Amino acid sequence: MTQVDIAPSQVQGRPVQHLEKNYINHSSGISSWLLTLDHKRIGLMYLVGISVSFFLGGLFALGIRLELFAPGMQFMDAATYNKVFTLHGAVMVFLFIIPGIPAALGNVVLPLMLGAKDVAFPRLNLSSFYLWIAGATFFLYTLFSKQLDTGWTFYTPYSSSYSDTSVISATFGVFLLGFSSIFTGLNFLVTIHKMRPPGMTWHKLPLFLWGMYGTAIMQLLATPVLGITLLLLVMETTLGIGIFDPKKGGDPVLYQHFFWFYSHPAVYIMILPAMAVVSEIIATFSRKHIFGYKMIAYSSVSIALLSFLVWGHHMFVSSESTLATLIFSAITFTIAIPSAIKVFNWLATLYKGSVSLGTPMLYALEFIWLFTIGGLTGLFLGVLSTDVMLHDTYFVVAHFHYVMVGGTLFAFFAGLHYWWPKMTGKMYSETTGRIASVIAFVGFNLAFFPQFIMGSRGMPRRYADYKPDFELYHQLSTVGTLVLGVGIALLTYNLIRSIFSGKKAPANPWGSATIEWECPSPPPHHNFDHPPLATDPYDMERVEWDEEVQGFVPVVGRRAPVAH
Amino acid sequence: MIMRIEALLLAGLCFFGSAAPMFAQDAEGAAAGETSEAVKADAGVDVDKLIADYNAKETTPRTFTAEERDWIGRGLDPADVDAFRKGHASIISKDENTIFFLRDGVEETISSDPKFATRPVAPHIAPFATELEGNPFWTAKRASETAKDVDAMFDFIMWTSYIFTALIGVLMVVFCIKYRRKPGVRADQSITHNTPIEIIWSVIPTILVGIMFWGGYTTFLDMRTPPPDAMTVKVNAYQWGWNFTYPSGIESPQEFHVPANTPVEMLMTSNDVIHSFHLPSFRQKSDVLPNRYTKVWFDSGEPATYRVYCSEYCGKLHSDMYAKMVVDTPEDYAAWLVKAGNWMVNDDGTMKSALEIGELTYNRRGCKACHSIDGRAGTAPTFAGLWGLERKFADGSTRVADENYVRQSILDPYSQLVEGYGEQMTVYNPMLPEEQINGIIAYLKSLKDVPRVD
Repeated sequence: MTQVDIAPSQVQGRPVQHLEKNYINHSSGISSWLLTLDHKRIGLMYLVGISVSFFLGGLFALGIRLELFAPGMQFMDAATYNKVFTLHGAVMVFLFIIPGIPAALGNVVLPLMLGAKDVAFPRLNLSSFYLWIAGATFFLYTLFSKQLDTGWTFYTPYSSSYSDTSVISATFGVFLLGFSSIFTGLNFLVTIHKMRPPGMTWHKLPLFLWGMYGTAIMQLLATPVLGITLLLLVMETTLGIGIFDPKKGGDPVLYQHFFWFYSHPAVYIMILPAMAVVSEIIATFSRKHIFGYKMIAYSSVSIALLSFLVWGHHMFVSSESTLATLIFSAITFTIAIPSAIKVFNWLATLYKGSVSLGTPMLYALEFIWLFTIGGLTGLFLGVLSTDVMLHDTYFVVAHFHYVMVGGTLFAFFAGLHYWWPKMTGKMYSETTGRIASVIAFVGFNLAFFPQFIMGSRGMPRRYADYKPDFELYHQLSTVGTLVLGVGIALLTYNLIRSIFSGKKAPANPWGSATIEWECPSPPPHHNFDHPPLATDPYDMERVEWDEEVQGFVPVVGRRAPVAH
Repeated sequence: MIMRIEALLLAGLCFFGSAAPMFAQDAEGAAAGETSEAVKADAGVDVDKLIADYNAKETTPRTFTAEERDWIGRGLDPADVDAFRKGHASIISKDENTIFFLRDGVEETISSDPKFATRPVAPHIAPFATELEGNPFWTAKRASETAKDVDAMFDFIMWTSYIFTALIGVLMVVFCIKYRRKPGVRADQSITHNTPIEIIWSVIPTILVGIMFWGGYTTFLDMRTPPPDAMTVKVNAYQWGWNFTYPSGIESPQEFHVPANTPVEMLMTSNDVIHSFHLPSFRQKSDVLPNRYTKVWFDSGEPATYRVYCSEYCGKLHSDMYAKMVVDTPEDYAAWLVKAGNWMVNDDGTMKSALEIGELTYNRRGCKACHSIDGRAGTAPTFAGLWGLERKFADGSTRVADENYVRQSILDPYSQLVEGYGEQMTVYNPMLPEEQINGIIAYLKSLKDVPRVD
């Protein structure tokens, strides 16, 4: 075993902490951004794009909750409500959650974590950003034409033959967003395969990259099915070819099978990156080696593969045969196990650690709590007998919000706070960040927990109006949404304020042992002066706190072993 | 007991439901009992007079038990009590202040909150509410044996969830406090994996979900396999309503009755988009599809009234697509069936007028969901002032709205689509008998002079 000094270029014995000339200001002018091939700039542009989408989707959510504050129609009619809930779902899923962590955070972090200069195909990376923009443009067109009222699932024959809204432009938007997702997945897959630094064997791959790898497999293999399905839908609507509409000789349930063949893996496209972010943060803030590395890594890949085999559990009450329900229910439970294992591993990582509750860690712990509830309530829906009564009720709405919002959104916030100093070179206020996190957590639970109760008591989803017996739960939910909104507003304020008046970030503020923290904050255009060498990404003792730089620096004299 | 523990677990989030009154009673102890006595006196309800008034109106006077007299004292009127006893009324839900119930198809509310109340109420009804049927905290009222199996599984998963959530939550908090960062204390880097523990925490959840899977599957088979002697009711769902057809051919829109303690199979299909027949009290649901039949079955149980929801999003009025299900005593069921079969006939045996039949048809058949009578155009043209008007079609041709035009529009609507409207209407061929087509024509004639907005 050779011993090599792993420290990057050093000034007076310490690595450079903060770079005045960095990737953000290394060239200027609008075209230096719009035509950039730099993964970090593309990641930042994604971040702006998905944040705008999130804001838009959030406004629709607010509309939904205010309308449902009381029985009877408040300030919308039923047709408007149907459009609002559809646009909320479609914008949040296709424009925000799916690209959220992989495209925005992943783009910035993934090559840095590999010590690489960029992703494998920088031009493909830029084109996937522009496909996202094109998809979003079609959504904007939809918004300003006749909107959309089919639900984000576009179920036929309502979408193909009955809705008089802009189904075609919306589906075409989703089609383009799908290609954006495929290109990102392909890029990450190749990058992880071919551009790992010396020493980074598969078993030394940081868990974030394992998660992104599993995600990329699903993006690459599942998304084309969505593209084809939506093209078939457009063909039926425009050319009158009968595929899904029984009046034209088609079968509406076929559409559901096609749609969920993509959209179930898509659920894991949303949650795997979230788990990946949390694995990094839990280990870093416990200053301890992650527990059960191999189990977490393999569970990511097994979730990715199993996710292709469970789509039928969305059709338990849609005339599916009992044999099919038996098989899909059984496979659904196999996917519960790797998810549970991850939670136990995170907990075990805290055990005998040196736990600090920084803002990213707070979000990560909240993630564990919310994802546990989201995952356990999934059991009710995987069990055939209980799914029958809960299917298409608010129980389902609450369940997937716990997974996608409590899970993915909170992990996104965790990752955003975790890598913010690296991306922007600025530290935000920890106090404000923690307060915002707790407010958001309380608001979220208040918003969605009552929905479990009203759902199990029979309240169907997608209802513009409801009977007064559900009023209490709806009111709690609306109040919770407002509290959640306050938390997110405070979070936004805190981050934006840090850009203007935040302290300069050190290279490694949290004490992580992964490679992206070895370059200065923000990184230079070319990321690393010398190609870094990889060691165990969870060897936390490789770095120690340095009072002078207010961050962690490599331990002088501790030499990292390099694999042969 | 179980409900109280659930309530305690959720107390931090301040949920009410049926657990709230239990809290209130626990907290106030004996005082609660005194209050209800006092309220009874304050309300000044003269039970004997109410019963006498009631019996004076009824052809067959009845006696009321002590329990029923107590209910009357607390706010129900004798007719309500009778309706509950006969199953003509049943509780949809209730909380500490309010009871929602269906009575003869009308949703009524007894509440101490004037916002909800649809009838005069006694000032305090909480003690009364808890005496009636129990409503589990998590789920809707339970109405059948199969539902009990479903609820048993629901409880099993719920308790598994409570235990795991508590375990994870407690460990998380304890670890974060006990192992918080302290100067000079380093994390124990030796703990990176532990094969026995990892096997244990993989195997235990696997066994638990295995039990859930198998239990859920066997109950599901019961829920999907109707007994051979089940009576069949055929269901047609459409945007936005339900039509029920009995073996004898009798049809009933938006409401169906079944005899008590009888297995009932619903054989369902849709006229347009996908709907879903959702009956929470029986824990039953099935999508209703336009190109095939789907079935649900349930044992109807004791006389009661239930709400049927559409739970698959089906367009504009999805959230108004309710039906009413009434479980009747055999005698009441037989009487209702006769009445349902003769809805076009007056009580004295004579036929209703074409106009009356037309108006009833308009309300029963779902015409009113799209065709307004106030002159405003909606998804479809308004009926107001339509009669005699020249209609312009998508291909540019025109036709005056007369008897033959209306008839063709009902039986073959897409042959003459009015400009600006899509192919959305249910084709009522051969669903609509001659008398009802004539009725609609008479109804349109009666609306001839209502001004149109478009």
